[in-house]
Amino acid sequence: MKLILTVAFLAILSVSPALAQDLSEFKRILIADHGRIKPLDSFSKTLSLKISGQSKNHNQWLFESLFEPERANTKDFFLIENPELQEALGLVKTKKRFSFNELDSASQKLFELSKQIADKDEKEYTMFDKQLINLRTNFYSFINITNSLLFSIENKAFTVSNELQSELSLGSTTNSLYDILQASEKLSDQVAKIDTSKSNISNYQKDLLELSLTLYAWVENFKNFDDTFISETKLSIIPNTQEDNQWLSPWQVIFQPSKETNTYLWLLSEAQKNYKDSSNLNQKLKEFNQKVLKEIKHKAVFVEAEILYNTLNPFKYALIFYLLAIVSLVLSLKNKKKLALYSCLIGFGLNSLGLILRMIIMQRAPVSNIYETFIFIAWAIALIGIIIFLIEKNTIGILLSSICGFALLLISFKFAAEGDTMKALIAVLNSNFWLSTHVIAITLGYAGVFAAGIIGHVYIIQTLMKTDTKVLSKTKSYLLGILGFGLIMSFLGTLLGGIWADQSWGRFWGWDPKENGALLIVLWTALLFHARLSGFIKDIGLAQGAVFGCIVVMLSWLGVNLLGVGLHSYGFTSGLFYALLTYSVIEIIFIVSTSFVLQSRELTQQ
Amino acid sequence: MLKAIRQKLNKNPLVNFLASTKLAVVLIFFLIIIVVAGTLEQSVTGLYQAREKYFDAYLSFIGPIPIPGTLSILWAMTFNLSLSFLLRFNFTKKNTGLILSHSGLILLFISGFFHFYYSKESFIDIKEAETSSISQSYDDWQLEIKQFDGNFKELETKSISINKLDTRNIEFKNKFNIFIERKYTNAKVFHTPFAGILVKELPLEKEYEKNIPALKLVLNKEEIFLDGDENSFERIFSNGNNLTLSLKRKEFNLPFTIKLLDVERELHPNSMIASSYSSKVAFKDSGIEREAIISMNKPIRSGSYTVYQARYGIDLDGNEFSVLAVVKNLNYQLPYWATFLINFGLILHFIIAFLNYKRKVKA
Repeated sequence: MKLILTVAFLAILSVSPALAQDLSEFKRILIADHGRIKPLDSFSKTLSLKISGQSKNHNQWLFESLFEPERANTKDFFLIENPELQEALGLVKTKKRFSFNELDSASQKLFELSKQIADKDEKEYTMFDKQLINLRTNFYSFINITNSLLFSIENKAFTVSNELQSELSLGSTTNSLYDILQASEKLSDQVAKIDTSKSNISNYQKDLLELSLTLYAWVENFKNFDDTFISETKLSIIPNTQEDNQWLSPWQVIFQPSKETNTYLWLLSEAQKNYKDSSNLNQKLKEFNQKVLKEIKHKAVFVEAEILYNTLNPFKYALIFYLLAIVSLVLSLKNKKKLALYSCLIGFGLNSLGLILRMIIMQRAPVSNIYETFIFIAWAIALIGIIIFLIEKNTIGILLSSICGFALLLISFKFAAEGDTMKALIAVLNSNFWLSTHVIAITLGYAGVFAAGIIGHVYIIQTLMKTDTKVLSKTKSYLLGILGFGLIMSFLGTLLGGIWADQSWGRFWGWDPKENGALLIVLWTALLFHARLSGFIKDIGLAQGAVFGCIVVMLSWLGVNLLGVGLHSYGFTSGLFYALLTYSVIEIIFIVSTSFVLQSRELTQQ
Repeated sequence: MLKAIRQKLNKNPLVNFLASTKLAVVLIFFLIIIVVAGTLEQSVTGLYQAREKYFDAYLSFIGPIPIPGTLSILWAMTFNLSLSFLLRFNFTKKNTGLILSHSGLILLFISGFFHFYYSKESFIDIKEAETSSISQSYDDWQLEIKQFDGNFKELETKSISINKLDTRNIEFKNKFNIFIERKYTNAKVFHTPFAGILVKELPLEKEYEKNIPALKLVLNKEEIFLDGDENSFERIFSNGNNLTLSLKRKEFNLPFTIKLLDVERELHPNSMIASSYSSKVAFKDSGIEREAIISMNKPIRSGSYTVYQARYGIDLDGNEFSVLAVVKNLNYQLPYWATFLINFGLILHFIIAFLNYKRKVKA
């Protein structure tokens, strides 16, 4: 129990790292990014992960990049792990992360190298090429971000004399572009009064002309900044009052001003002026956030749920508790059953909390991409294990929950590292009814058959260890029960998928790879039950078949996505081939070798 | 009575084998093999050809090895299951779930066969403000030859499906004929100023409906090349014969008319990712016109026809268009009933088995 409390305490400590500044309102600013409205907290986390490979202090990083870009430019942030790429760019090879300024000095080489691969087919990209393209994209994203609020930052170019400050009613002699734009009417009036035909113009008039020329140059430079810039990363934080579902970046608002959107710019500019004063900063950003929420009629609860989700990081801590359960079982710690059970239950609770928060945030079932299937299947298998424990009081249930929970959540982090895990749904998937029925059922089917496979492993190991027949009989019962559950859910999911396909595409069954994958799970489990019934296989054969079922599940779940054909194009993935192959080979070796040992033993006994 | 017949038939080893679970295991095993082979084939040749080779076939080959095709396996499974139902199933309370799920399975097979043999899939490619009562086949192409007299009065029309033919002689009433010398599954005919007519054979598309076929025809020793391009059309005057030739997708007359009133596409915020798209249509059936919305996951049905929103797009002239899939299926509800029966049966069986297990443990 003490161990659990210690882990929980450490977890709480680590979720609230000391921040340099109170960014509570900053991280709540909503942004439209890749088809989704989300808080900057999520945006900065994803972007930070993408550029620097880590999400530590991500809000602080984004805040600095927006409000104090010159400082952000000096921080080592760009992750370049490949020494070959570091060398090609002429960077020092003693570190892995580089600042924007360092990369900027190597930008010429970066563009030259990018040009060399411009004509290559994407399929022919080497690892070096991919990393190069990635770095270039990150470089552009960074530039876009650090320039996003440049209009509100005081700039030497807009420093004016006291006379000019007074005439243009400016608040200070040092100004930002935004300040000058606010005084642009007065400026143009004053400039119009200058008689340029006269050779003698006063210093004041010279300053006026210089300021108007600087303003013109800036306007020309940034006029189409967010429309034409090469990066997709835009700070679209201002809802467009003219057009539904469209969000604008501050630069877009500057050049298409309206009474409504001007208030947003003013609030951002005021926030910029007070960025070192947390209280004032939060006040201005709070007003900004309230205005946005009112404009788009978005409920604050969704924002809070997402902030909570990001802060708690429930899957990370679920993973730790699942691991703790495994360790306490394997090391046979004191009160191992209790400790393992509590750890497993906490892990499961956190896993559930994560799923619930995702449902609140996305307002749909949490199973629409590969990442979500991993966290959902981890949860489902953990639940199966806990049910076994509660009914049978057998630690095999905890073992099942914690091993699968840990392994699947661990794999899910690979997918989480690829970017936003809550992407917008394409039209055909945008149906809450079918996501909550077909996809949940088929995913539970994967979970059931996979869990049966794990129990199959246990059964084989118990047989090898000549475990008591009563224990073996119990394990067999669990195996049969879970396999039956897997068959029912796979069949239900497959047939519901047929009905969905009939509603969407006009045919119940089309032999699409994803459909075939699901069918294979149904056929394999049906084969095992019928083979057992007809005497083709015995209990050990059933267990070995269940273990092979894990491979079938993996191929159906992930393997068919690698084919890249069919109507289920939204599930396509790449880069998993070798991982799947390795997994399959290991399982086959397990089946064959244990089978060999058992047969040899049988022959010896005869 | 039934019991006596069962006992008698069960004594026959052949009948016993045909109704056996062992045969079911063998058939499931073959089905697994064919599903795996067909799925892998799709990444190489595409869905249509894999379907032709494995899933819509009675006999298939994996390399040089012949194995029963999916149709043979499914027929055998239906037969095996039905016979097993008659001869082997114990109609007891305990088996209610199994009986229901297996009868659902038979229903599912039957609906599958119905669909395979009798359903028709086609599509309507329609622009805003256009009206159509004709749909086109995805993969069935027709050569249409019309013969006219000197006054351009139509004498005879021949429509020949070219899908399953290689060469063929087409005879006309007034004793002239056209010989189809070669069919190209995907090709483009070029009329060049210096080199004459060239046919460029193209690699097969994975999405079969994207293949545009071409034909090489011979009429009075004269070679004619024709492809299925939208504007491809040949007019020929030969030995007093006045002919027009065209190669186009097979067309079906529909019992209803659709006018596309508006196409709507909703996008996710600040992206080009469509969250939904729909077609507002005027649907005229049996003289009654009604306005309807066809959207993703929400088709409209009329008799045995169902119309789905398949695609949306904007053509080169900036006109919005919808591609509506049209499916004629006499029994679209059968799989729904089968789904219900199978799953209800399986869940029931699971519950019964679990309760029995608990009872045993208690005892």
